[in-house]
Amino acid sequence: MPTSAAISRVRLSQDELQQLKWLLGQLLALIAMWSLWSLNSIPSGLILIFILGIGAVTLFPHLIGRIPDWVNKAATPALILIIAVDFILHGANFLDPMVRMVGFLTLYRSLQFRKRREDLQLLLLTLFTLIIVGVLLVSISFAVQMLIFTPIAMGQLFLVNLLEQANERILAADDWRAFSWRRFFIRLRVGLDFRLIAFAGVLFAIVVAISTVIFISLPRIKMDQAIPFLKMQANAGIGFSDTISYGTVNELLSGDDRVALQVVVSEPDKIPTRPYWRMVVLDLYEPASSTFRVSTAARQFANTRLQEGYRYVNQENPQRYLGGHTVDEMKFYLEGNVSGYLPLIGPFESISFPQRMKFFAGEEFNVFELDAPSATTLGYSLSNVALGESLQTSRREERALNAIFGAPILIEEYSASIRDLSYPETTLIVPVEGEDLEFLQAAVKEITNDQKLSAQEFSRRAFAWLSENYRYALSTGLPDSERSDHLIHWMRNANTGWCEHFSGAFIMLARTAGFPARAVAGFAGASWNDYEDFFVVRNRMAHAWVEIYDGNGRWLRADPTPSTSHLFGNMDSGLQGAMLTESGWGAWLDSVRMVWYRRVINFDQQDQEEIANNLRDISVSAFKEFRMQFTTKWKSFKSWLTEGWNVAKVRDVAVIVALVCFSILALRMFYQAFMTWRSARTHEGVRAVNDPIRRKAGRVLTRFRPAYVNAQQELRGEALKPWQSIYEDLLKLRFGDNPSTGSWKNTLKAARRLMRAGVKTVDRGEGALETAES
Amino acid sequence: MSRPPPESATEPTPPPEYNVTDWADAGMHVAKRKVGRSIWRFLWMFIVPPEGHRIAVTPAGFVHMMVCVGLMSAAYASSSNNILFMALSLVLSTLILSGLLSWMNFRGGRWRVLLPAHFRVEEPAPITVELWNTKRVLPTCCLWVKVRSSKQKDWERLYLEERLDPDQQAKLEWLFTPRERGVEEVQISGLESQFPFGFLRKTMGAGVTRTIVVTPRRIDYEFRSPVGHRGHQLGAFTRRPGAGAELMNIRRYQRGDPQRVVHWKATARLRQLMVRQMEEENRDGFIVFVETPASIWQEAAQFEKLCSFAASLAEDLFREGRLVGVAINDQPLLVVKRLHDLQLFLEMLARATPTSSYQSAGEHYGGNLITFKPGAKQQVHAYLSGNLSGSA
Repeated sequence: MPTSAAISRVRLSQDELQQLKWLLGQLLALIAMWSLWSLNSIPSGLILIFILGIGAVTLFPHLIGRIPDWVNKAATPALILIIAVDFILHGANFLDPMVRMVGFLTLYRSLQFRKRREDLQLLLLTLFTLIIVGVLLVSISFAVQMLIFTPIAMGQLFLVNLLEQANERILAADDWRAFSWRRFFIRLRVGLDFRLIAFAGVLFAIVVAISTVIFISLPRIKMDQAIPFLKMQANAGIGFSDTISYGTVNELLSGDDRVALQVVVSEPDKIPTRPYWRMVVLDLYEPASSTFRVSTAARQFANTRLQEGYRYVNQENPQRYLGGHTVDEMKFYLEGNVSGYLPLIGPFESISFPQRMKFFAGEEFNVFELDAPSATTLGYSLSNVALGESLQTSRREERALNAIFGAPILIEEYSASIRDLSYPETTLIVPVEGEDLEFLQAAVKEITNDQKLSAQEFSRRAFAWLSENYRYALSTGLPDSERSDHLIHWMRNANTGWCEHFSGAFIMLARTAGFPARAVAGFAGASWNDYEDFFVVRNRMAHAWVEIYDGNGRWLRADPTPSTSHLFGNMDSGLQGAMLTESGWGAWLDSVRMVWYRRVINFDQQDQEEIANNLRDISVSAFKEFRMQFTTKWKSFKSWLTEGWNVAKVRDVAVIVALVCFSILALRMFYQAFMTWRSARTHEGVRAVNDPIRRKAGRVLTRFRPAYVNAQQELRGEALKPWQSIYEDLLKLRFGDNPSTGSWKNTLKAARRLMRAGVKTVDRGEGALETAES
Repeated sequence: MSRPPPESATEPTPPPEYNVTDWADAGMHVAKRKVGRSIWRFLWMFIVPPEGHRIAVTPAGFVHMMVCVGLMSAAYASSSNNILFMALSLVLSTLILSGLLSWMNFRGGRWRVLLPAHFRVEEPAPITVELWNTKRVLPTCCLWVKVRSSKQKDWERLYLEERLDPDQQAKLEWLFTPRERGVEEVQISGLESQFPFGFLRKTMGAGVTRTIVVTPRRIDYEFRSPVGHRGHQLGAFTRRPGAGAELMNIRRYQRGDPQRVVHWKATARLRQLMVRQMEEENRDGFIVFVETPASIWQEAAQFEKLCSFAASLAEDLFREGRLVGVAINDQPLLVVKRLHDLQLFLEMLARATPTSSYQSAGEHYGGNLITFKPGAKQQVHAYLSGNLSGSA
């Protein structure tokens, strides 16, 4: 009977477990506040005060006792009032009041001594906060917070459950008065067994592993009618809406190093060193507001309409684009609040989204616009993407462009408003008059020398003219002007500017020369992240360039901005080998974020199928490999056997057999020695179970017992005595005090002998004994 | 070929009993059997729990499930939002871990019930549940068993408040105070636990139900033997084993019998140890005779008092060595020689009810016969040979 003494390890008292539970609760509250910090629903200053308050009462729990009773009593109605007023005032945007409510409740619960129910409430509030913030921001911090939250929450639940059974009492202020965390942690350290910590670690690893398996296995169903669940309102970043005003994007260019776009390409070698990520095409220039915009006429011409779905396939035959390089697949991860227009490197065959999206597919201009900009990182993938310097027009657009190609449309000759222009007239209108027009015409004359030039030649000469007259800088050097038309004012008076000015000037010159031209906004350039093999595009790579029509059904890309290698990397050096490669901690963190978006956030049914196929392929190939190797070995073994035998071969076989036997014996001895060693090390009760002799006797006893019962029925008198005596000896060996004393081997042997002899050969009476003993 | 020994000597000595078999387990203990079968049994257990296993959802578990359902609905409704799927998988894995830990906690847990031999009304009797953690490495904690008598509505929980280390035992004690005379059942549930996170309340094992007999309450009474009474006149009832000089019987040797009482001749003849059994010296003795016709005992409280009075009187007389026999109604006379006989009588009193099928004889003869009759004001009187001798 096990009666050994209890293990003498310090056990935490009920009060100490209560203190630990309280600490875990406070940690949960702090995690919730950390999570809320990332949202704008509660001002950062207020969150900081919350965190400081929670931290203070965590360090000095007796402070809670100093909160006057009337405050505690008034807290609940006050909270209800505040939350109700908040909902009434800001009910239209339901999300913010809800987040604030959760924040206030978390704070309230963390500033009191909690009962079981309140502990569970705090846990639930924290989980709720993490999920809301996670869904809203889709940030990798969600994963980090969940990984911290999970073990703390499990510990909290465990303690709540443990203390519930032990007639829990709540610690009051008096219990905390002489409390010291230092003493507590020392005691915790003494009380904690390293095996317990290791066990907890293993359990946590199991949880992570199980949840990974569940996450991968949960079926992803793409529903036709997805309900928008907790979406934040987003705004497009500067420069990427359908209206671009002059002088606004230099904030981005002057060093906004945040990531705007990450791109994974199936064949990265094909991507040029300075890729142009085309987002929005702006055809109309309004001098009155100095803005380039997408004209209504262009929208009507493109005939885009709002669509919804997970995928869009270009209706036009994509083959018309696919003359040059093509890439099989590109995956884009566009950061939140950048733009509703998706960056595209060229025409593509199809685009797909992980979620159901609403969009305008501007196939005519190869522009893809979402219904609203995404507040969180948006992933989408393109298939069969064409890479090229030019864009083929549709036949319809070609006809329209050819009809007006060659002669500018001057605003002074145009009787109606500029907004009444049709497309593609909007790409040819020169919206200036008087001295400004004369200035442009003089410039064009200087560029062309009154010659009829091709679009390529005009572009080359215009680049040269612009480079001669203007330099690249993020300042124009001009005082703030009252003039509305900043572009012409800049051309006439300044000698420095940035991409907007160069592009705008080029467009004006091209149009004056009779070439339809339009502005394009997006990003130019990229850097290469070596950790996860993807392209990184940052905000400072925002760029504007031009597309000029060549009169032969092609829009040619023209980038009149002078060399900006300090901004875009070494752009003149050819292909990807010369692209700037990012390294260091920043790049590593970018790669981690990339993994997060690529492998986790955008994990979908296709990835599941891929995993399943990979598993199947691996198992099939492993099985084939095994079978092949086995067959080969078996054949070689058979041929070895059937070959002629000689002395050396016999000797080899004998050595192998001897080695095998020796190994088996050695293993057996090692096992027995190990069992004996373990038996000697363990305390009495466990030794009683683990003793090898005892275990052996137990095994024999299991077989002997039915034989003995049979013998009891069949035999009488002296014949039964040896059975009886062996049975009792076996019981003594199995359950007695010291099994190793006495001739245990003889007992086991006798038992086996008796079982072999059995009752079947035994007659009733004395003969039985004789047979058994023989 | 020798003759078989006499029948009495051929009875095999019963094998030594060990208490291992009387431990109940959680139903997960798999005896030595083929590995393949064990694995299938183990896997099957996840689908169909073994008999007696019950699982109830706690409020915390209900909230947990609601969270799961909410997350799943939101995840699918918002078209496979992976953040929600991630939260869902973490929450679900917590549930799986909970099951795993719970299984580990229950595994190797054995228990048995130790009931006291006798129960008496209003006297606390300790009912002990012994727990044994037979695991080799892991402790067991947060267990309890529920106990109640069949006459109680609510269960009482006996908590294992301390952690039970590997191969350790602990005792959980329930002080049970019966409130009524009669037959009751003591019900002990299987092992229960909400370990580790309190989502599910699991019961392992089918539980135990034991029938107990609650003997009548002990009460104060008055009893005096009438002057000149000589009970030994009816010596026929005084034949019981004792230390007297008369040989009463020869019986088989039992452990604890003194060596001097061995009957060597009989031992030699029967080829096993036999001892002499002597008759006790004749002493004064009484017979307690309880009659329970419903026509006499109409008041329930008075009948209870009768039972208590008869039980208390019989017990005191036995203690004084003056009780020779007991009888209830028309049942045969029970000669009281040992404590066991007295206990038998107390149990008969525990089961006694006013009966309409028996009519009192009216008059009783015999110098040592104690009978009972109802008195005024709920009193019960005892009569010895028809004379009032006591009351309660």
